Amino acid sequence: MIAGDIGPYAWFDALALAAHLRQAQNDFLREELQLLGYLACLLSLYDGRPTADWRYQFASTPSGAPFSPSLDAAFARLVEEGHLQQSAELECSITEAGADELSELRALRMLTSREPYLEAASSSCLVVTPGMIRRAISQDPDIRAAFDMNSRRLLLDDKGLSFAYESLGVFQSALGNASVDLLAPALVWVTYFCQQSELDVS
Amino acid sequence: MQIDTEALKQLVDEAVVPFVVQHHGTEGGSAFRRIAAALRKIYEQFDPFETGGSIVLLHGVASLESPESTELADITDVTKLKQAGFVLELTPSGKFRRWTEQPDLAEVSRHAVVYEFAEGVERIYAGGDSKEIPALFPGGGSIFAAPTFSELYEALIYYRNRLVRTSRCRILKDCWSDAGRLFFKAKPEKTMRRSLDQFLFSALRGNVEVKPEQNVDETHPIDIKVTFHQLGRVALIEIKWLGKSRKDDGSSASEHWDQRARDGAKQLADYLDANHEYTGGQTARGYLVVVDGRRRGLDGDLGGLQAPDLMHYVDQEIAYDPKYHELRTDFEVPLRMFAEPKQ
Repeated sequence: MIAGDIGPYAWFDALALAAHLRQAQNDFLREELQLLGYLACLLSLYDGRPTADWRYQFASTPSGAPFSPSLDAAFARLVEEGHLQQSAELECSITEAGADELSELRALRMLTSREPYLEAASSSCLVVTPGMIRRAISQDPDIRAAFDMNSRRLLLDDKGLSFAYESLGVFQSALGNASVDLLAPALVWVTYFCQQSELDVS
Repeated sequence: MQIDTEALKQLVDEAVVPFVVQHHGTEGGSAFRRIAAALRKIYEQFDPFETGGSIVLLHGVASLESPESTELADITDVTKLKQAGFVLELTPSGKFRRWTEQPDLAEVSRHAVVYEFAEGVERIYAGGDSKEIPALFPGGGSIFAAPTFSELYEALIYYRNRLVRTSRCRILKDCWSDAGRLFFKAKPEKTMRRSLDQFLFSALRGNVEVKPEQNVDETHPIDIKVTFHQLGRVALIEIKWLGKSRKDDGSSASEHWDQRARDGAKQLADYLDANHEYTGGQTARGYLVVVDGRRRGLDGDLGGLQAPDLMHYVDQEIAYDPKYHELRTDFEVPLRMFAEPKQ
């Protein structure tokens, strides 16, 4: 059952990310869900969907990572209700009950239209580590500014969104038809920003 | 922030997924995902560098006609095949079929996505063409076997054993002035810092921030600062190197011996104190990493050294005085990482 105060979108996203991550790695950490949720949100922008379609927002934390209270609350409730499980080492995975819940939710078109973005974000973990995704995301100017000033700020607001559209547009031009599979922009995006961070250290 | 379109174009040219999609469409993308997921399971069983032959894993698209093959009972059975290498077909139902004959991979890839690991290089074949898979992870090895760690010390031990010992790290390789790994290039510390930074941010899991050259007070930067946000912990990593370095023209640049490691320990202890004061009591732990490229009897002549000289220092630990790691609770046991010459 979808918890009303959390909303169906974050609830669905947490379950779908967890399900797809089962293919890519054996388990996941709570904060990795945030990284991949944000990457999925960027992929939906890349695909031309308006940011309002994502239905919940991310903020940049002082630790230099994206964070959505909705997604985190959904995670906590899913664990409470036994749809996700978390070990003593904080490693998480989807349960059978969670997989059943996800199957039911997949009947709702308003939710399944999000799944290609969630799938591509999760599948990127087949090739790059969560640490690499985190490093790539941390190159975002909004996130860097929040880290440098040790503050929180809303991501993909007017200023952040204009940068996101501009940079994603450059990626669209470079990738052309390959974008038909969203794993292509996901991996190229992560690799590009990791590579840029390597140049910063040189 | 401007996107470097030239660098991006090169990345797209090298990228595997666009290549597979170009030849086999979205079906190729799905086959690639299934191959990647299977490889992660296979490489949990063994390191591909341990295999004597080549490893081939393929997944059909459209109408692949499979030749004579035998089905594996379980994916763990690949460990029995690793010595000679193998060709496996991953079927749509998730079974693994071992092909008895080595096929022409380019030809098979007209109806399949084909992965190959041979002589340390990974390739993807599709549509009769092939492409080398770029090494995204600094540690070398397969991109489908990148390790992850929750504990920093475990990660550093892996870095020592798997990346530094044989200079397998693609960044660390660039520290050496010669193919035999006898002399470092002049001022190799920047490259070493970049290598460890890239490894740690890739390999550490959780809410962890890895930052190179972070000040511990107004003026003194530590080589790498690792912040475990969830745990409220910080690790300060100082890197030192031992051995000899040469300039591009072959003339001597500098050399460092045991005292350099002891100086590094003192420096790190001072940094821990400075950090404690500067941050108002932040809990930090110090890690001294010593990349050891010492060779006995090494001078300008590269030809005269024998194996015992090359490996003379392999087990020669540094005698620290004072032993900060015994005197302080915030100082981890220093990690000497012997970088072997190429013999």
